[in-house]
Amino acid sequence: MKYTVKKIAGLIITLLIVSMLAFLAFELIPGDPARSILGTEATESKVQALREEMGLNRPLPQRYGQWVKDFVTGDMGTSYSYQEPVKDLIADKLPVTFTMTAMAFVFILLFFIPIGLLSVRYENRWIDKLFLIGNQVTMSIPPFFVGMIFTVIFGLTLRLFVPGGYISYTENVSGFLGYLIFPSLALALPKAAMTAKMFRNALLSEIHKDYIRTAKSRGNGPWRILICHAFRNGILPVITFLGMAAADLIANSIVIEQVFGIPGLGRTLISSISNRDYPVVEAVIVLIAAVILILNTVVDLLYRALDKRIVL
Amino acid sequence: MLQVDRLSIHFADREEVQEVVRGISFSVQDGEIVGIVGESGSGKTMTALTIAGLFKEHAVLDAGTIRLDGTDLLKLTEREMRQVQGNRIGMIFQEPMTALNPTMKIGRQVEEALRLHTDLDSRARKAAVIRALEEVELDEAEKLLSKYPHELSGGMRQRVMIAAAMICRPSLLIADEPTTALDAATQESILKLLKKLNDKYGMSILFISHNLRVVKELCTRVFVMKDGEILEEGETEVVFQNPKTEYTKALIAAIPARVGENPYYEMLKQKAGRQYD
Repeated sequence: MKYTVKKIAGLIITLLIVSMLAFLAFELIPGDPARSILGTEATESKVQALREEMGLNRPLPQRYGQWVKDFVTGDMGTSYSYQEPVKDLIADKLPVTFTMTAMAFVFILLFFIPIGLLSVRYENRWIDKLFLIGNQVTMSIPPFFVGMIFTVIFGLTLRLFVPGGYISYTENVSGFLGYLIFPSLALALPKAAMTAKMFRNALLSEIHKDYIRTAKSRGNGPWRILICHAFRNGILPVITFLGMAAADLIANSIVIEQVFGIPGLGRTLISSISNRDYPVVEAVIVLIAAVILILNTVVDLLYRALDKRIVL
Repeated sequence: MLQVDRLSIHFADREEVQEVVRGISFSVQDGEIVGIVGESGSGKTMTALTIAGLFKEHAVLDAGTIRLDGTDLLKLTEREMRQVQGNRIGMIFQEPMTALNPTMKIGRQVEEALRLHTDLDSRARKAAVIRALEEVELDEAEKLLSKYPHELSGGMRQRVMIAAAMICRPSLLIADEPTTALDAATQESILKLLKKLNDKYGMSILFISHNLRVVKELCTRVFVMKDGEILEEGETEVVFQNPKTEYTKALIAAIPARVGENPYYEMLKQKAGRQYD
């Protein structure tokens, strides 16, 4: 109970700080939303009139206060550049980004668990060494570059997908998921390699512990030792990392969306920043921050569920 | 039932060849409790681990046989040896704090050998686990099943270890310093428990310890090991009354026994010239 209250309070405070910083950032960078709506040809008096109308001439704290008030009552404002309620705009894009990062996360799980287990089961044998080299290489390539390589190999050469041929989930769900496979794979690979390496090291430090010797003394075979005994202990440090990796996936998805031409939150965010469309930017940033904070809480709870010694 | 013949082991991890066990031979009869004593580095734990099939990394077996009821354990494949481990040989260790899996419920750890070596269904296994936990004098066995090791005291954990090692009724229980990490009172009760189980089920116990007092309490026969060799062996009483080597004498003298029980202790006390009582 105390834990829940603490977590919620922390969530609210962090979101306030994040949104405030985003507001402040707009104050500091050059550019004017009114100007970007009217275009460079508009006269100064017209721009000033629009600024007045948009409430941009009010002092910053007042504007921020108004924004918070509206946000809590569920009004995220209207986008300057799309002339559409921010809520609808996000509701359209969110499923795209969410599906892609979720797929990437599943890919990470599918890769790191078997690779970690196999590496430790055959420690220092060829398969371990192969994974080690593979991990090292994959880890050092940034996702956007993996995305470009994928576009060339799987898109242009093997024709497994049409680069830029994004299919909306409203049209064709399986086509939508199919198009997202390679982007999420590109997003996942570097993180999957890091996670696999971490998991391998965590498992290796587990299998030299006393309780593993006890398990052997009962007649457990090498796979049972790994899966029934070392796994749950070895995955603990990895879970913390997975929480951070998930947050990173969201950040990297912005870039991957550009590489593969996917109209997700990331694209919206970037175009809104360049248009100084701050209602959209504020909402997206708060949303992303909230998702990351919630992920952290999930990690804490998972940790506790796996290791009962941890008291929250 | 257990016959170790000319067993030699060395470590091959560094350039120097380090012999840990040098051609030792001994045997344990059915139902007998035999002690191996010696200081750390004497090779006693290495011997115990080798019998249990738990070679340490870098350990190399040079020669010898280990026969359990006639089968040479050293000739078995890993898979065959696994059929023996936890089934015909049970083992308990020094550190009950770390010897149990911290993220596995007690019930599952105790029943594991049954899962591996029998076809019992889950209900039968659960009943056997509860019986085993009661056998090692743990209260509220049913509740213990879903607890984790950190919720138990050191003595309780060692009892859980014993229950897990005994669940398949092995004919040999290897105990590697099982009481060293425990306080004196708990030590006493664990020794009593081992004695009781030995009386009831007639399994042999190979008891490894550096503590002669503990060995004296429990074992009928004792082997004194130093630098990988057996220096002295015999009935515990005889060895205690009549230690043949200086080393054994020193070991006996090191026992912090009750006043009047140990002649060497009396001697030391007089030397120190102080009143202890």
